Amino acid sequence: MKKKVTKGLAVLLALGMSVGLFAGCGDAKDKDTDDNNTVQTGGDTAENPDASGGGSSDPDASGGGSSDSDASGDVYHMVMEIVNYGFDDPDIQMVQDKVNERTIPEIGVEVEFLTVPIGEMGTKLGLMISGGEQMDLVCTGLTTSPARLAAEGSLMPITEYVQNSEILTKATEGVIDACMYNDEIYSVPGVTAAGIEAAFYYDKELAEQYNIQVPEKIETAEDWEALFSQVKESGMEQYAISLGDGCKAELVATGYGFDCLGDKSFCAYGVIMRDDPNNTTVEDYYSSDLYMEKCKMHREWFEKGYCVPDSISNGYTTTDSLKQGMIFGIINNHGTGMNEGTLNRSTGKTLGVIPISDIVIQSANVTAMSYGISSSCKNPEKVIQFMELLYSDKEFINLMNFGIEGVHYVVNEGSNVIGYPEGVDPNSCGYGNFLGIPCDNMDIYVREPLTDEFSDNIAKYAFGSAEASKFLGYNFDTTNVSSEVSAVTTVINKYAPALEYGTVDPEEMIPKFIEELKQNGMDKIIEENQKQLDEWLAAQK
Amino acid sequence: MQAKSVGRKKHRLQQRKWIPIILMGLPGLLYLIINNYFPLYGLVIAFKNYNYSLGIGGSEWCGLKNFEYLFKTSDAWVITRNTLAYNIVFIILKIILSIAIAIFLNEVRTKTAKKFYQTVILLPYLMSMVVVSYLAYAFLGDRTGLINSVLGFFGQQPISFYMSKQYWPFILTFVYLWRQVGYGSILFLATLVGIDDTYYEAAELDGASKWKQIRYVTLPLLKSTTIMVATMSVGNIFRSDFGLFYQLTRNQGLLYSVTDTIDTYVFRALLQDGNIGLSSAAAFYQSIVCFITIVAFNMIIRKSSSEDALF
Repeated sequence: MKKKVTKGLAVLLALGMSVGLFAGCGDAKDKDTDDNNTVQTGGDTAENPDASGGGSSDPDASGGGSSDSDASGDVYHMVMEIVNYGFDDPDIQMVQDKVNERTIPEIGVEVEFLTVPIGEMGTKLGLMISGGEQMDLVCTGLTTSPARLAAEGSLMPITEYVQNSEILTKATEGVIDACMYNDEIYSVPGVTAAGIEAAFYYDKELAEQYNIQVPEKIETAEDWEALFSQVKESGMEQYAISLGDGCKAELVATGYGFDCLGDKSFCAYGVIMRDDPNNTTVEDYYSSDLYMEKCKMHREWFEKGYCVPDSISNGYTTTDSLKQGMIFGIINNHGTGMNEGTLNRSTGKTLGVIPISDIVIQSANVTAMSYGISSSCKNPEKVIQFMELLYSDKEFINLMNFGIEGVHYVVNEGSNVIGYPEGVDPNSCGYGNFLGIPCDNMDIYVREPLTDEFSDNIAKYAFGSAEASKFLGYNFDTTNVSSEVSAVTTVINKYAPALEYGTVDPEEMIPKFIEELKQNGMDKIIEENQKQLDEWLAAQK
Repeated sequence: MQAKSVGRKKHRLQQRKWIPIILMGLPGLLYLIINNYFPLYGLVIAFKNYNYSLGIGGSEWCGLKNFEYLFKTSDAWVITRNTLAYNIVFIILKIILSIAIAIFLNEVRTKTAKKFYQTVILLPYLMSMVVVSYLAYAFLGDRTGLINSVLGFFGQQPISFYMSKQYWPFILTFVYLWRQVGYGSILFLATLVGIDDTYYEAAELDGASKWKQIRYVTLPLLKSTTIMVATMSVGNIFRSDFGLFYQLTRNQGLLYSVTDTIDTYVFRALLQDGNIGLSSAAAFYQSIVCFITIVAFNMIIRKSSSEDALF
């Protein structure tokens, strides 16, 4: 008898524990959603849309409907992804409430900002879609690309919506093509003036102190030599430049001189040289004379001691080195997104800019900051309405980008330039630590130390004045050569950093590099890419 | 006949005795099933062209296409060789050193000293590989590294460790052992503590020296633990410590021929497009090979000393 009781107890205990286990699973999941860093929406606005001043939701009109839909009115709860560096702005809730004060009455959209650290953005969207979590407006650039997200089924084709929207069509004229994949638009350029040039940013204070004559523009190897030899001879303890860890050395990332056809980090798909405007031949970048020249130049810099000798392994990015006062300047993109303002903020220096290429618009630049609608979105019309605000309403754009006037910024009188309010500095400002908001950036404030001059020049980076690549909208579909692409990518990883950073002799190493690329199917990739490009070009006519 | 049925009855009684214990194990078992067996379903992703909006069930099958990239590269042999060779060296050296350290620790008589040594030896295991990589950099760095500073002091040419592959097999092995032996010795130490002192007393009476006591008492008694540890390690022979091979070498291209393993190769190859079909294919391939090795290893053990075999 006693034995039976014990046994029964054991069963009960076991059951109890297993139930606990399942409950544990549930808890974990709940917790997970909390951990998503969602900003809680102000309770009253969510439950009581009419209270916030009925613009679109007329209580009488919706009176006929079920009480259920009444409670939520016509307000669509929209989740928007905001990519940041891993720490959240303390005032994001405040700005979100302010945004909702406008969007709920005007377009019936209640926005929820979901911050995602940049390291997680590549996987987050897929996981959220398969996990059934809501996500509407997503960032498709930075570490991902609209083509990749569209191919894996995370994005919704939005061709119709964009084409029916006068505002979006107008704002993205000339650049929207870059967001096409399989003849459908999957995203909207987050930066409308998307042109970039490559530039050399240098420390102005050092240049003045050591009386360095900086050129207006750097074009040839001689120009570089002239600048760097001055730096070397001036006696400053800084190196002239850091080539970073070689991998994706900034010179390549800027991609001047060629169109990288979608693979901006490795150029593994082949490139098209831009020296001849009618050129449509895909070729291997690493076999080109351009690459040889570039590596030789870097080798020379390395040997002459112009660059930081251990930057390939010391773990500092070029920006870090500049911040630490280790170097005189760096090479980076220059445009409306990345410019002296951005870099001044992150390095704490006052930087001057020397352009080293023309301004061009390439697919990769446009999509590097583009926004799309997730395939799990329930109401794309509303999301598009929200985006229309971002591409037309200056006040709204500034709110989303810079926060609340008087709290996060003040406008310098009579100009388009904003500064921080008294007692606020870049570190204590409660809003703005994210990697961009999709908007029409032709007509927004610019932050100090940028000036009205920069603001006036923004048009230079937009379609019409900047030269647009002929291949906007062409996407290389890697399905047929996917194993070759991954093999080639690892070969590039193996050789390119050391070559581009100048530690090895290019004459000796590049032939080995090319041979290994060929062994791993580079030719097959180029052939496939050329075939697809020719088909695409034929279809364009 | 009679004896047999009695035996069976006894057996059945014995079985009944285990029921409460099995029931007690049930939650753990359930956990194991949910955590380790349910996800096995996800393996089908390795054979599919995965699409997030269609889900696992809805995605298209693509046969073995996802596995191709692992074998199509000219580095396929290098990465397989590196993974296996490093692991074999690691397993053998780790077991030998762990046993040695366990025996030394066991000989330390003062309690506080024993605790102190144990903690110090275990400490590296608790460090993140990223931290370890910076520690190593402090020694090996070109301009600021300790070794090169000392060499410079004596007027020698500095060595660019991150450019010269000949040093890395040793550096990797050293760091791996430095990190792992402390943890490895715990298991052996636990066995050692459990050994009855009377064996040693008897041996001492027979005039056995310390060395002979270790040779003829300690080591034979550690045999089954050693075999268990070895079997477990062999089960991971086709996987590599990603942090060790990626962080410690600072992902230097020039070192790949001696530092690239399957895990680092897959990471680099898929960094660009993050295709989960391809990455699950790699994991699946590794699991299959590991499964085969562990079963084969266990079979050998069962042949040679059946009581020590794991299954």
